Amino acid sequence: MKARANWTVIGAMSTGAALLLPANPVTQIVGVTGLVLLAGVVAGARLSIDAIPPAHRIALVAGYGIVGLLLAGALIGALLPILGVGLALHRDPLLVVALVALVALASFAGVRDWDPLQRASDGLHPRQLGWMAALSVPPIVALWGAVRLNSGGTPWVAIAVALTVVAMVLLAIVLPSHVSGPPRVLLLGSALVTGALQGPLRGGWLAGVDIQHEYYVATLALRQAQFPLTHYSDPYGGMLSLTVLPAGLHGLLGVDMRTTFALLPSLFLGLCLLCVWCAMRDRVSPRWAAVLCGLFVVGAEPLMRELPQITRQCDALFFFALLVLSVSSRAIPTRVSRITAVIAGVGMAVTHYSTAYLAAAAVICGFLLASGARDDRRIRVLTLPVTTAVVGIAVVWGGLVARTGSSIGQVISSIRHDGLNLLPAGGSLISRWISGASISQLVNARVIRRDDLALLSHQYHWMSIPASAFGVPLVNDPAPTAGGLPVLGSILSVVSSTVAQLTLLVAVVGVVMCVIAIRRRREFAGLAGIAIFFVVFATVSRLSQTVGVDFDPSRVQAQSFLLFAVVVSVAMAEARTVRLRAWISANRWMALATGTALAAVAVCTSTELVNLAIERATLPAELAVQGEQSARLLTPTDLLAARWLASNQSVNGFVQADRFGQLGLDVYGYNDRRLFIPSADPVLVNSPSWLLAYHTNVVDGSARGGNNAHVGVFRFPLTYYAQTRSVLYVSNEALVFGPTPK
Amino acid sequence: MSKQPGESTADVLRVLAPSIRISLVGAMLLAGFGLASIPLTHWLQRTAGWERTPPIEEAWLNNPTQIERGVAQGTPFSFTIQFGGATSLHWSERSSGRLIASGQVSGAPGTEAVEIGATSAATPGTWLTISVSNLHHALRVWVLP
Repeated sequence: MKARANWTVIGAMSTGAALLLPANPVTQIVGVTGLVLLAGVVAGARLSIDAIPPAHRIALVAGYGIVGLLLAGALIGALLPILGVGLALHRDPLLVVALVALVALASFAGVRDWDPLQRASDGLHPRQLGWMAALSVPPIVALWGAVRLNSGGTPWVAIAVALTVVAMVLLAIVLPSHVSGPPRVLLLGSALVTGALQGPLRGGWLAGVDIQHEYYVATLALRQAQFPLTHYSDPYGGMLSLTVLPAGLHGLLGVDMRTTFALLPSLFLGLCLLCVWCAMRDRVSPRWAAVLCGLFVVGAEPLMRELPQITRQCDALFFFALLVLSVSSRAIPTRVSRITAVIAGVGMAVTHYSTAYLAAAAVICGFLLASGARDDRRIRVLTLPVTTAVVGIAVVWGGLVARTGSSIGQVISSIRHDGLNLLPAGGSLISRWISGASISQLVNARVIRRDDLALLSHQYHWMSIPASAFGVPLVNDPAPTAGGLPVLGSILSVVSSTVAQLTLLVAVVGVVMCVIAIRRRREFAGLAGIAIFFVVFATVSRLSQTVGVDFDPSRVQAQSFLLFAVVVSVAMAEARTVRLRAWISANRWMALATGTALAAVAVCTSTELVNLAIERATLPAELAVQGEQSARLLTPTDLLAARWLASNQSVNGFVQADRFGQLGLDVYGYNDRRLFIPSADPVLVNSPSWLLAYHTNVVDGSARGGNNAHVGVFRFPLTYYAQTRSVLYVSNEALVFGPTPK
Repeated sequence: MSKQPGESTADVLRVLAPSIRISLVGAMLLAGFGLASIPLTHWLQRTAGWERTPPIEEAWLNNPTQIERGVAQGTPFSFTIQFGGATSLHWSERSSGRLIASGQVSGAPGTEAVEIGATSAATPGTWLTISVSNLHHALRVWVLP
């Protein structure tokens, strides 16, 4: 036997060292990467994935590794308590299990001269690692830009970062195909991660709505250190992305939970892009793949701006993209594709039930269409066992572990009660279609007062409201908007909206062409079936207020676009017999220039650079210190006040805050509290309630009311509350008002 | 190539020697870079506010659920002042505009001082306010009539 380096042994030993050394960023990065890679390559070795292209291999290894670790963590969290180890997801039990596994792997690989890590890394060049290191700089600068904005500093760093994102996408498209240049997929991935990282740390805490409750569930998981959580029935408690993942990273490697929630979602989005890229590269040239990635992935505003604040869905979208890759790729052997589809189904089910349910329904459509089209069963990915497995795991996990029955029941009862409530906004059909994508509209404070009075007489008639409250007017107080550029802004607004609609049109045309192509290529039936489901569902969620509240249209759009990008690439590749292909060949540069321009506009829109140029547009929190979005952010001082309130108010006491001050309380579990009422309007603040006033109320002097459908901004009546209520807690940015005296 | 019959453990270790050497170098590099990253992380935390929030001045009423609706005249209550940037803070307690108590407290940033609020000289049926230097807003307690 010849002496040579065994990279699996080296990987196992280095990962073990990273776990044993004191926690710091370097050991954490090496530890996480090592565990995912080793788990992935060991699983992949059984499937002989070394024969497929390197980029595909990385996506598959990441998918296998993450699912493997999540399930292993869940098993440890479930089984060790039965064996008497109470805090199973704390450091010591996790470290023992991990070290035993690593030592076993290193011994086996060493004795058997088995090196799956080396085989999995075949075809990867050290230069690509160098580019990866270089392209990790823009994401770090993005974090710095957010920190500068948090301290009230110049927005120019953040704006420059957004411009860099646009430049990287353009570079990925126009770059000559030279071996020494940066790989296009790395440029695109870095662009997406950079743009996505501009948001999560804005404000100084974590930005976003859902993420606050996610954080609370993760703190519960960390405290209980087992799975499933005890005495907690919310579906969030059944998602490994919010329980085992943050608790395991904290327990094993000391990764701070805020870091996990801020950074990991963007990295998962980067992996989504990798999967989509691989699926497209099987069909179209690198330039066209870059154009489509620019248009549908980096250029998708929900993906770049909203999803990083919904961490569980980012994790699940990676597995959805993996499912799309497995169903569509020609480079992956059918057997591997089938197994990957099932693994992706498991990944979605354990990380985010909505994504899993939508994917399961889409897979059923794909299976039915494939069966109806009578495609070649030898190469069909969505076979009956695969479909059953994907649907079954979604239903079983969602039903038994995450216990999502009540959430699904709520959607059904909403539809029964309210109907679909199609296109609720007023105006012309076009404006109603465009506004249909947004379920939340800004309204005048008068609307909020009217609604609050209606709520008081119907839902909260038991409240005790001081008579003086009805004399306090609700003064409209909109946040500052963009100054904009007079003519250019209007043009950009029209161009941006046009490109957004054009992208939707291209997606629909792509799906139609893919369906037509089934006549010649029946193997497309599975992918086409999935795409048909998403076209229908994305349309319904966009048009229906009732469905849109539970399945946010922009989040459905983000999921759909990962699929549509691949479908359009398939349509382009299969259009060779139709005129479009001939036209593209004849006008190659013009077509590419048009695609590049569309992608550039899409990315300018997704990074919200366009908003800065449009007069009176909402200022994005990622690029400006002030504005409506910035007013909704939480600062660390808000968290201190919320924590004080949560630890001092009894569970039977009423607590109130405005619609976004509420988010600070969500971090401490108030999302589940029955006696929490989100209102700071004096006519809807109960006399015995404690009222949290966060920095936007106290420093900026504004407050927000409303519901999921509309939000109104009004002057926070600080003087009124200061004169009528006790003050229990003060800092310079936040207050906690107590009850009115008896 | 797996371990063959007749092959000793020494043979296996000889084969594994390059892997072990690289692993040891890797572990040392990991420890070195890791140790170097700790002061860098602390510096980033200080300058960029990445993780830790610097202590700020705060004040709150202790046992708030007991006094949230008011205190009877003559019943003392306690409140806490937390030090932020300042190491010495002054507080004053007023009832109907009259100063009825005051004090000076000192402490390191992040530490707390517990003070007692007096109500014997407070006017019943009025608000009692406790102002702390460096804080723009005052704590307020209702004195029961």
